[in-house]
Amino acid sequence: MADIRTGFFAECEELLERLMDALGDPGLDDPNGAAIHQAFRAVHTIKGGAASLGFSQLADHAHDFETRLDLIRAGDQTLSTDDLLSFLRTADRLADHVAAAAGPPSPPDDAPDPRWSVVFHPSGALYASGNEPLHILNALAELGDAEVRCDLSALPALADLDPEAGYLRWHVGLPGTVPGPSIRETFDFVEDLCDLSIISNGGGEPAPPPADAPLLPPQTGVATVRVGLDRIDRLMNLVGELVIGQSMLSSALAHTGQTRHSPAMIALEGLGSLTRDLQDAVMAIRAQPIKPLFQRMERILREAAGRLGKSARLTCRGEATEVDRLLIERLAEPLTHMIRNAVDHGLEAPTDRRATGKPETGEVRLLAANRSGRVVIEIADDGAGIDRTRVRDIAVERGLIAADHLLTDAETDALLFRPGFSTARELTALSGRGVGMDSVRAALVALGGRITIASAPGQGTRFTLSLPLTLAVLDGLLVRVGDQTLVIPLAATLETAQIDPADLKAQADSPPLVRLRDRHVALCDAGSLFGLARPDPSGLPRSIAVLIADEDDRRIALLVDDILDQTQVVIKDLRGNCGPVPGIAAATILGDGKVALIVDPGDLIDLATTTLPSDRPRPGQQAQ
Amino acid sequence: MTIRVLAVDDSRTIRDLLSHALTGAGYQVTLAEDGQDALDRLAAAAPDAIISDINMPRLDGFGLIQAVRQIDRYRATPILVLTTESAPELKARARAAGATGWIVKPFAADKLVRALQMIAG
Repeated sequence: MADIRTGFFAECEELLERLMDALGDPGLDDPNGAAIHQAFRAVHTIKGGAASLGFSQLADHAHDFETRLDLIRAGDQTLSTDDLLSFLRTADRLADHVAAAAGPPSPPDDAPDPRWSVVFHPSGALYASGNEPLHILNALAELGDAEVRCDLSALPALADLDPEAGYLRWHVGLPGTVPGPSIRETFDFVEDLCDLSIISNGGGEPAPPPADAPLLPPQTGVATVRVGLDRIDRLMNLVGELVIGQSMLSSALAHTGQTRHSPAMIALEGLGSLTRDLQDAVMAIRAQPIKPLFQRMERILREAAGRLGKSARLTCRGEATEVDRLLIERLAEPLTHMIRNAVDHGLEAPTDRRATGKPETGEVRLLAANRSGRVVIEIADDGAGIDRTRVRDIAVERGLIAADHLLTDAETDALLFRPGFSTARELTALSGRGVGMDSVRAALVALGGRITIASAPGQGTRFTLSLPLTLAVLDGLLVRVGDQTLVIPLAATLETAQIDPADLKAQADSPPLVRLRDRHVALCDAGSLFGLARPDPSGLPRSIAVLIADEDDRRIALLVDDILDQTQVVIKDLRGNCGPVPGIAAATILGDGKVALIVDPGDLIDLATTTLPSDRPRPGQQAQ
Repeated sequence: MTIRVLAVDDSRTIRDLLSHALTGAGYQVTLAEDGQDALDRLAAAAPDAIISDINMPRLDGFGLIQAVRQIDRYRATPILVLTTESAPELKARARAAGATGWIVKPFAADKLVRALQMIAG
């Protein structure tokens, strides 16, 4: 039974996706179009499954939704914008119901046992055919504890009674445990001779889909198999090990004095190429097209525009771009926020747009693409662009910059990402919700991503997100500290620099400051932070520094012995074995088989600054 | 009160099966070899229900049903037809001829009994 439930919820996930897909379709209002049928069938299937499994609330909700969709489908009602918005909200609630039903085993609100409610109204022809309601009712009673009530209300006065007509109507209640098909089977001989309805008390219709619902063309695409993510992760891990094993073998063979053209080396090269192919193939398993995420955004956009009284449409490009499934899930929230922002702050009101000669309907563009081993997502609007004067005023008001501080346009735009800067809360309740662009940026950095902004007055604003293809692999900078190799996530690396001791500003009781990228940052020695080596800080035997920043744009310059390489590493969890290690996020195994630790930038900055005054930029520093 | 069933089939095996299944379920069974044989035995058997094959020599199932329905006493007697396929048009034809229900051959004994219970108790 548990398996059936799991299967049902997996199916629901797919169905909900199809439903959202259909609701986002511009052709939804066409009663003969595919979209409305697709939406109807998705809801119908969810209802049927929910009713059979006894999730009465879910079935109930799906039933109401189905009824409303059916009115559009039958052409009895035209689809208004309000309807659509309400459908979208209903779809969301349906998803909530699915989630609630899928939650910890049968929620208490589903506890009252579902029951079947059968209404059976024989026609005169039923009696004439030799059938007898009594026998049918007896057969029903054999299926389970039946409550039978006869409705005599249609019975006329004796003088008016036609002895061969069917006046009686029976209501039969049966336990929900009775299989629906068995109930239906009881009426096998008479279904054309009576009015019959068999529903669960949740409103679920257990019968097969109505014959008038035309079958959609079969979904194009390849057959699929559902596999638990843990299995794929294990496969991924094993492939990672294989890559390492292969490179260890390679360096071992090189030490035996094999030439590059020896049979062993040639065979090894072949193995290496296969291993890389295998790695790509395994990564591709986790990858999914970004399309469903973009489709969700369509809905967010419509909702936001509806609430704000603006007119907006979304155009998407590159929906087929494949991204790690986990990444897609984690992108949903930041992207939602940015779409709302684009509608709320980016697009002007229709009257303002008309006044500036723009079409009343604003456009928000979403684009996804693969660029140099990363996924790039752009969110652009054709609105008013960033009001830099206002941004500046707010930043001064919030104490983020000094009143006399001069900023370039790009620097002004970047203020939007600063913690504590949010224009949203004052303006509307919609995009506000207590989060600003700083948390969007934080979420992206946590995924190994970066975000940049470009804006032109009167023409619009464009945010560009750059993300790794997968979360299992990290772009890292390999640095040497003492006899250890550390990996610094590239996403957190701003710059590497040669430090001239003459540029240092010494501070009492804390590390010296160095000016990098127009800010003074603390110069911290990686060797002493990790206890790998303890050189005299004033002597500065190390002069190479890596400028790192965390999600909140706190920065330190990290002194290292050497910069070795920039490479992709497979992330190996460390917490399972060692628990949390300060400053360290995870580990990886390098090509030579050595273990290297992956630095957690935020954690490391915490570590470095616990003994330091805050390195957050102060007006005084920036003015220099 | 024992329910009396007239079971009609030209195959001896099917008659044996019907007899076995129905007697086992507590019905009183009269067997007939074809439609004509069934009509001949009707008065003596005085059935509460009839189960009949369709394709039979002399008088087929449809003919039997029509003849039986002419007799006032059997105007609403439940009649179950045995069909070899579940084609909807066959059901429709059986219904038009006056059948109450149908069962598809080959049948399991419990299915037969359940079908009979639904029309004859």
